[in-house]
Amino acid sequence: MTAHPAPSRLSPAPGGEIDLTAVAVEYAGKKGNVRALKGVSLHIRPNEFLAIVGRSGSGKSTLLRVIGGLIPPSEGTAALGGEPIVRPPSSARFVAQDYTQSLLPWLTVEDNIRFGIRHAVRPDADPDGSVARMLDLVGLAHARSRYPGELSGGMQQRVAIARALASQPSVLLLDEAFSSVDALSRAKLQDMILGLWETLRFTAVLVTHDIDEAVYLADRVAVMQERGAGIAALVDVDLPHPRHQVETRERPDYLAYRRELAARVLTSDLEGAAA
Amino acid sequence: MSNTERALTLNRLGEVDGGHAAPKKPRKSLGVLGLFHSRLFGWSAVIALLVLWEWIASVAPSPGLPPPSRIWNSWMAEITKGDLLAQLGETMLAMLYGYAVAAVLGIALGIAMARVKVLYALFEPIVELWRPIPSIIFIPVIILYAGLGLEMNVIVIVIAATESVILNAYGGARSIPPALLDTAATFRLTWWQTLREIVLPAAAPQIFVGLRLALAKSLVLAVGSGMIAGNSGIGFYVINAQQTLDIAKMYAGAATVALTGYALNLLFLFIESRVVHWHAAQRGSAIV
Repeated sequence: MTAHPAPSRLSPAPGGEIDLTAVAVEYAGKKGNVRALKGVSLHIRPNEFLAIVGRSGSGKSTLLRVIGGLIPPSEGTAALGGEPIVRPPSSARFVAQDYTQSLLPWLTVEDNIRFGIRHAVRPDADPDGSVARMLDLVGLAHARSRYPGELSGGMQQRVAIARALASQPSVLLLDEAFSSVDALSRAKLQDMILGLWETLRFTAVLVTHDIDEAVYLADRVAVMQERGAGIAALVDVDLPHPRHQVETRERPDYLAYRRELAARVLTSDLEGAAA
Repeated sequence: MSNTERALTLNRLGEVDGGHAAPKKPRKSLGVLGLFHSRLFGWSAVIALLVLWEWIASVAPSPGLPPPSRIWNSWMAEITKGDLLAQLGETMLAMLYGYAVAAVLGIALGIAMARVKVLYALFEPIVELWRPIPSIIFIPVIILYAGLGLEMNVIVIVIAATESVILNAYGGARSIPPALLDTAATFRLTWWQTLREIVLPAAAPQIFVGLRLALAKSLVLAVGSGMIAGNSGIGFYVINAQQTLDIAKMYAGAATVALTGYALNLLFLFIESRVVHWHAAQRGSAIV
């Protein structure tokens, strides 16, 4: 269900380039301060699809929250389009794993998307047209007047993505966004996000623990070291677009990328300890 | 979390639950068993009690327990010729004013305490001290200052009912899912926009829990304050009937209060199901 509609009125704001320089994040924990990130540097190119993989506790979600301006870095700098990120940047939108809690349950699907338009990066001259278009793009035109509580998990996450993109961000941050839905919905969501990315052009940063998902979706995969020690590896994924759930996953180069990344993730604790 | 904060949080009745709608149970087929599981069964028990009462009153007459038929006749006479409805109107007017003030004040204070730390620190001890005091104890003091007019009844209702609204509005506004606040942040909502578009609707189901408790308290105090102060209203009407030994009239007044409470609760549930419709759908049918 890859979407290939005509070029869009909903075009992203320019400048979806992200620079992280020696970013450290410290939490006040029960037993003193916890360093979730210990100096991470990463450059994310405009309009690329970057996946960040790593084990639990590698700090990959914390890193994404720093980019989203939801956590300020304790040390180092994070910048989007050259502007330092000190609060949620106007051109980035964050999509959480927890779709049941991130949608507005008192608003219909349509009104949730309208919420995104009302709080958009730039004012929208034709909000009604944009709502209809987003509903089409995520395949939810039939469910426009239903409430989130009446939808399946996959559908709710489609609403959350539509709402984020309706506000025309240049950067879309996806925090384990496909991890809480069943396998089939997940495959559909993956193809949908690729279709949206190819159509609307934005910088996509996806945090996932799933190496398969990272290789399938991304053009570049960053592997986090254990305990936020930094980026262990950056792997370019040179697979052709559009990608296909069956054919792409059978390609020898797909399998080679998968093998390489799995090995990197499995050894990331050793490298992290050495660093 | 401090102990006092925990006390406040633990005291909220009802939880704001996110998550999926509970799967609906398949409706049972209506057989003989179905009748015994229905509301009709409970209502026939009420009628049976009335019949039993009528029978007891006829075989063992007592001045304290007139038969329901005589109470009914007295009631009809009081509604058409007596001042029962006028007195009920007085009580309802006090309740309307008191409840409206309690609702607005309670929602504003509760949410302000949840969103502004200074206000929480300032008001939390006052609310905690005020909470366990039975509100009728304030009546003599208020009479001293406000006299025996309508203002007295209104003030007592405000004192009694505001606290449940504050606690529940506070609890609701404190238990907003972090992911929802992330949504507010990533869409760059201002403090006011977050309050209006996120906090208030998210807290609404629990605010309604507080409003419902406040409604019950308002009725109790609207009736009770008139009864204790003896100034006016349906409470005064009942106590006056009792003191003049017009027992059927006393029961008629009591029945009027009971029916009023029942009707107010039905009206409340109807409004609640309209306003927090998304939540009512998740929770299933409301329990009275």
